[in-house]
Amino acid sequence: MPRGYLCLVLHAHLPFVRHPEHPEFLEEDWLFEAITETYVPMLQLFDRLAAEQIRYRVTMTLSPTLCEMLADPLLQDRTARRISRLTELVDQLRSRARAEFRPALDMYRRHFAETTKTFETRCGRNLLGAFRKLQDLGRLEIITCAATHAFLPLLHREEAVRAQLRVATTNYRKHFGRPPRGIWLPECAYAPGLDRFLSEERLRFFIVDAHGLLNGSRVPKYGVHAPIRTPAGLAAFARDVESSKQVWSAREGYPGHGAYREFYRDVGFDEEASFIRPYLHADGVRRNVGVKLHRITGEVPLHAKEPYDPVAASAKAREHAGNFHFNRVEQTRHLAGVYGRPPVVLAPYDAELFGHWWFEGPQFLEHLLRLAASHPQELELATPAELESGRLQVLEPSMSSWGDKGYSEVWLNGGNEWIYRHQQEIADRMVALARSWPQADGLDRRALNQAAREVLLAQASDWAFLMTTGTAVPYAHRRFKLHVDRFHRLHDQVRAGRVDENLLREYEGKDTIFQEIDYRVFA
Amino acid sequence: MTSAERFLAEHAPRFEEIRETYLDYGPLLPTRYGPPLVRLLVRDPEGIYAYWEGGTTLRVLDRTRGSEMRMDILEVGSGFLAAEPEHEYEAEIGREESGHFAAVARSNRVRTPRRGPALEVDAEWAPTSKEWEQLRALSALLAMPLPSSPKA
Repeated sequence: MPRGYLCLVLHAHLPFVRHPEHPEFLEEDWLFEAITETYVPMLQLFDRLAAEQIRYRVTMTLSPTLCEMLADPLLQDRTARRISRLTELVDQLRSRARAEFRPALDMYRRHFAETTKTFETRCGRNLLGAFRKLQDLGRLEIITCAATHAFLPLLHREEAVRAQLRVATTNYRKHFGRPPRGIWLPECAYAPGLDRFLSEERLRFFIVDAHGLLNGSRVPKYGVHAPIRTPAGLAAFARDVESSKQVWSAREGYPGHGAYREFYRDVGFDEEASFIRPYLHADGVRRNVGVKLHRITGEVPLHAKEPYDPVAASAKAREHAGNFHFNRVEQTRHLAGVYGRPPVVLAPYDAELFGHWWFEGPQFLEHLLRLAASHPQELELATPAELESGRLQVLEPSMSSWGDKGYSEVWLNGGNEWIYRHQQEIADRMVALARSWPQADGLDRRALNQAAREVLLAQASDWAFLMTTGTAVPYAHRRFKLHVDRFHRLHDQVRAGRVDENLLREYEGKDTIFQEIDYRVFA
Repeated sequence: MTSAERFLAEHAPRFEEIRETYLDYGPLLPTRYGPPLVRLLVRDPEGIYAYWEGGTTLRVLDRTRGSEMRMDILEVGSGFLAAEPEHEYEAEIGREESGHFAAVARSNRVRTPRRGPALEVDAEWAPTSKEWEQLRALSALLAMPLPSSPKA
């Protein structure tokens, strides 16, 4: 038995953003950036370790909305186009760059060449297949999420919660060929009683924030360092505070080190307008394009950042991985002494931290996984699925989330509260429709299925989140309202017995998510 | 705030805002849906949220304390209300005439969460003194303090 277990949980999620009605669309960049900077580098590192027979265990959420985008041919084509544009941009930059930027540009050139190889050759543009293979090999534990990442404690009726979960587990089976064992609750948000619905989907474990266990119905004997059993029989694991802080904290966190790539200094702003114009969106507005040639340097203004040195940054990532591993070994040594049993340290992160925000994050992860594999007696990598069986303390976790202040405020405040009236109304109407049409067929059935998609898309926590953080606010408003509006039109047409096929086809062509959906999931 | 957003907020240098080019806020939604309705949602241990339509008085019932509060409201509206941890609430909307309240709709019932640990200990899973100290360190880190010893 090892002295302790480390569960790394990487939560990969993006809202469903797909706009076939436009030749290019700004918010689709979220997916392209995550693919080139996070998902592909992760696949590459997982592949390398698997090829070297290195034993690693990592848990990863691939949210249903993300899966649906990764499997979408239109978005795959657009991703491929994006990668080739960036490759071309880097070549152009290299032909005119000053010597101090050569190392960074050489790195980018290799990076995009390898990205192309992985995306096109290794994966045939569909990353899901590669992730699925790693799961089948026993390296990755892929868990699901709610269908559109709804903040479940704010859904007001059981049917809505059930639909979010049922659509998610059905979609998981479509993409991964087996049922999911665990779930990442969107925003880590739990409320007492949710476990019953998770149990109906035969899910075996989920994750809560630290205070979800600490403030549970009983004092948790082992704090956040052992799973507990909920009243409905699921295992709940809690986030370890110490390991989170080490990566996230602005002062002590690794990603803020001066050697690492500076996210906010991008050639989209640095290069002269006529040169960079072809690589911007059609509106010509300067934005980050994803090629960044400076390092964080220190607490200096953006213009004083120094050139990026990939070799120094890699060395730092290796050093930080060593430090993280050392700290976890020390932590589990201490905790094993306190509890007289191996503690479970569960460290969850947004997957996009690794690569997208923290460019060297995937290198950090790879070093960490190698270190852990070579010292298994001190700290063993494990997944919650391997640790959830057996007799556990029974308690009901408290309502909690990993959002600012720990509850619902990020998703329910003066800037976004107006959405809930509409979101709940359309869920009520959807339930009523599903009950009034238990056996619809033909056009009615298509309209009802599309109505169900619109309800789910309106429930995404992302819209409320964007409204709170002040990013892409008009887009978030528009997306939320569009789905509500589309639902109402479909609802009224079905009720009136006059479905407009042209309109239906338009919505079906835009909101293509969950082709397998059966609207009766809301009944 | 998710961890990525927290990271961004902490690391972001302040620099000129990117010009907003996407100013379509989407279609207009109905301002009201018809039947009288009041609903409650939980924000956190100290706050709940209500939205309603179809009444001029909102009556908030604290089912734990057995108290109530009434306020004049617009026919269609919403608002955040102060609450206490671990209390159950319900609300009604209606009309008040000469002190008499006639309800037209009643809300769902909600319960606010605990602000700190429950302090209920299972005999079989009672923390040892070392474990209690470990829990105290965690609760201090989360600013949700535990007393120095468990409840008997």
